[in-house]
This record gives sequence, C-alpha cells and structure tokens, in this order.
Amino acid sequence: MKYAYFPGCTLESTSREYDISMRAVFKALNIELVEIPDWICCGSTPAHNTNHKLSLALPIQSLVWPEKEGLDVVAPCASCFSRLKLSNTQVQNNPGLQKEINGLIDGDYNGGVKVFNILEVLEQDAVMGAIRNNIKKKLSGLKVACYYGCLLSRPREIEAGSIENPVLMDEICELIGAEPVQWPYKTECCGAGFSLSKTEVVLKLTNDILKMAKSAGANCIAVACPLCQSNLDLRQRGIEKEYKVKYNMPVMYITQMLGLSMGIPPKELAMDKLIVDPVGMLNGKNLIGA
Amino acid sequence: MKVKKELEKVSPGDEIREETGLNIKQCFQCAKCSAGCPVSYTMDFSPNQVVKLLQLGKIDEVLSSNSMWVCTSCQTCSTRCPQDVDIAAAMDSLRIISRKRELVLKEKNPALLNNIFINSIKRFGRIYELGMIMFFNIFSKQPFKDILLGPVMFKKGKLNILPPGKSYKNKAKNIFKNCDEGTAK
Repeated sequence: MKYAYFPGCTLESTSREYDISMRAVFKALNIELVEIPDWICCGSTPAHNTNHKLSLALPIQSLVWPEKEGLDVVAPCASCFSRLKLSNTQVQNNPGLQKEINGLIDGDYNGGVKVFNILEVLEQDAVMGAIRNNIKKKLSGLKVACYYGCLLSRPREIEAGSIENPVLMDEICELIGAEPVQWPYKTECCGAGFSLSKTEVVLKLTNDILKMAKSAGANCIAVACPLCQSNLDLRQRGIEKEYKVKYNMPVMYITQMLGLSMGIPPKELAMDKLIVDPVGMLNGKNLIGA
Repeated sequence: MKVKKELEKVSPGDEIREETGLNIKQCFQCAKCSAGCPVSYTMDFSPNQVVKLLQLGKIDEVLSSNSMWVCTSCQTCSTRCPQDVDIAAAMDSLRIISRKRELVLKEKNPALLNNIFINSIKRFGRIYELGMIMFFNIFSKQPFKDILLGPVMFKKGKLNILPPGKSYKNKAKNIFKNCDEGTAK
C-alpha cells in the first residue's frame, strides 16, 4: 500500500506530533508514504472565505505530482482533506472548471487522483487486519471520547461516512482495547481558526465539548484534526481558568493511541509534545513501559 | 402573470445567486440551520435570519452585521438544511462581497487573520505560523496576546522560528498572479 502524503502546514510545526505519530504508525503497518515534494498550503478556511478560484487552485496544484506518479493522496489534517477533496470533486465533475483551474496552476491536473482522510485509510479491512496483528498492548482503562469535529464528516459532498454519528475512530478504539464512550458532541465545532482571531468563542465551544466528554465518563479525548487538538489541548488551561473548572483531560491523536497499542515507545509518538500530559494517566493504568 | 413579473423584479439575493449559483428562495424558515449553528448565540442575525433578509433583498443590512464574520464555516447549516440551501456558501459569498465592496467591517479580527494567512501563502507557499501570530497580534493591537503560551510552544518544538522557504513557493506566487490578473493559459 502506498500513498502520496500531504502533511499540511500545521503538521510541520504546531501539530508536529500528528506527523511524527502518523509516520511511525504507517511504517509499522507497512503503508508507504511519499511526501508530495512540491505541496503548497491548501488555503484552508481563509482561502474559501476570500476568493473562490484561489480556494480551488491552491489545493489542486498539489494534486499534479500525485497524478503523474499514479498515487492517491492521504491528508491527515481534516481541513486539508476537506479542501483537497472538495476541490477535486468539483474539478472532476466540471470539465469547464477543470480547464479554468489548469489555467491558473503550474502543470495540468486531469482529475485522476483520489483523496482520503486518515480514518478512511485506517478503516480498510487490510489495514484493520494489520493493526489487529500488531497489537502488543490493549489500552484497557482508557475511556475515550472520540471527537471528529466538523470537517471529517461535513459537508455531505466529502462522502466520508456518517454525518451525524461517525464511528471510524470508535471502531479503532475498540480494536485496540480502549472503550469509546457514547456522547452527543462527536461533531460539534471547536471554533476552528477563531483560536487566534476570536478566542472567546473557542474557549466557550471547547469548554462545552470538554464538559460533555467528562460527563459522558471519558478520561481522554481522541482526535484526528490538528486544529481541534490544539483548541482542546493548548487552550485547555485557558478554558479551565475562564470557566473555573478542572478537566486535566489528555487530548491524543488517534495515531498516538494506535501507536501505543502497537508497542511504539511514547517518545517516538511525540507524546511529550502534548500540552495536557497524558503520561501520568497512562502510567497509572500501566499502558506504557514494559 | 403581472404579480409573478413584479416578484421577479424584487430579485432577492441576486448578488448571492450570481456569485455562487445558490438559490436561497428555497428556504422555508424551518431554522434547523440556526438550531445547529455553534455561534448563532453571538450573531447579530442567525443563519435563518440572514437567509430571510437576503430573500427580502436586504443584503446591505446583512453586510453591516457581524454574522458572516463570526461564522466558523463548520458546515452544519448546509448539511442539515432540508431544502439544500447552502447557507455556508452564502456566508462565504457575503465575506467575498464585503471585501470587494471594501466595506468597514463590524467584526474586524477574523478578516484580518484571513488576510495575514493568505499573505503568508503568497509569500512562502505555506503558513509561517510564528509570523502569522506576531502580525495578527500587532495589527489587532493585542501585542501580548497568548504570550504565556510562547515558552511551552518553543520548549516542545511546536513553533518554527524561521519561515518555510523552498522552491515550491513559486507555485503559490504563480497562482496568486494568475488569480489577480484573471489570466488563463
């Protein structure tokens, strides 16, 4: 199995642990990742807020190389996935638009690439089978609120599974021995890019999410989106201060949890880069170390 | 016949329709969009109210509100609409129209961040996060915002000091040039 890899901007800096843990897990599962050598920023939300053609041209540019190589693309960042997939679908369904976008980019894109998010890659039977065969330690004692956020299930055009009740992360958790909790905030918005520009909104929305996860009995949250992770983790102390509560709830990438169950050492999964430290809890449940 | 022609002259949301191809006439005000909107609590006009105003041709009132600027683009509204009205796309159109008309915005910071973000792509081909945070703080007149998070971010190696800088950035520059000039091969 081989994919062209689109890390996205945050995986090279603020969400480096997602990139590190994803590469570690994919290597252990024998899935080859070849980073697109000339990928550029997908434009994320600011591009489609600002200029329609720009918001299509930026992601499509990064699909030129994968198409030449005959590779499909995996994009672990939910926002990058959303932009790549939606632009790809629009261009595939509209030859006039495809021609127009090709006039804006370097090279030509002919619609031959499929774009996947990380959960779609992991849920394939062969991969789930490989995970099953590689489990060294079941993560019992972890009660996980699987938090999907907005862009792994919406809009409908991304066709990436259930819109209101996605289950891919829950299934992975079950497979690795953790207990996914039932909770109604799987796809509630965390406030996304308002982390910088309207922080009070993010604090309110993430407080609601943490509160609901806690009352559903979770002792940690699993995510597959760097902005969700950052809002829930980096801003958690700020949320606690603002709302006078205590959560101390670790927010881990699904790849980090997977890696742990596969016996990959925490350091190689960049667990130390998480702000709300999970190590204490994991140690307490004997989930790391020999 | 005469009534129908008169109604068509009113042209609710024509600018929106031209911009996006959206047909907001389909909305029958079930308000499912507003019920699911995570930020309607802080909007001047909730999503269903925005659509109603557009149906009535009152786009200027919407443009002078904060609604589209506090929208997080979570797509809940469009996904749940039983009439397939793409409210999220309407919000995008309102932001684009605001910018084209160079309006004074009721809510400035989200648009400011969008501009800084886009400029980073134009300059480097990718986001220079430290630069973006610094510019945003300076231009939004909050120079010390989040400064306490700085040390832990640096300590954990989560912020690059230097901007990204490789050959791919010319591809981004090229796209911006073509989009601005509207040229095509």
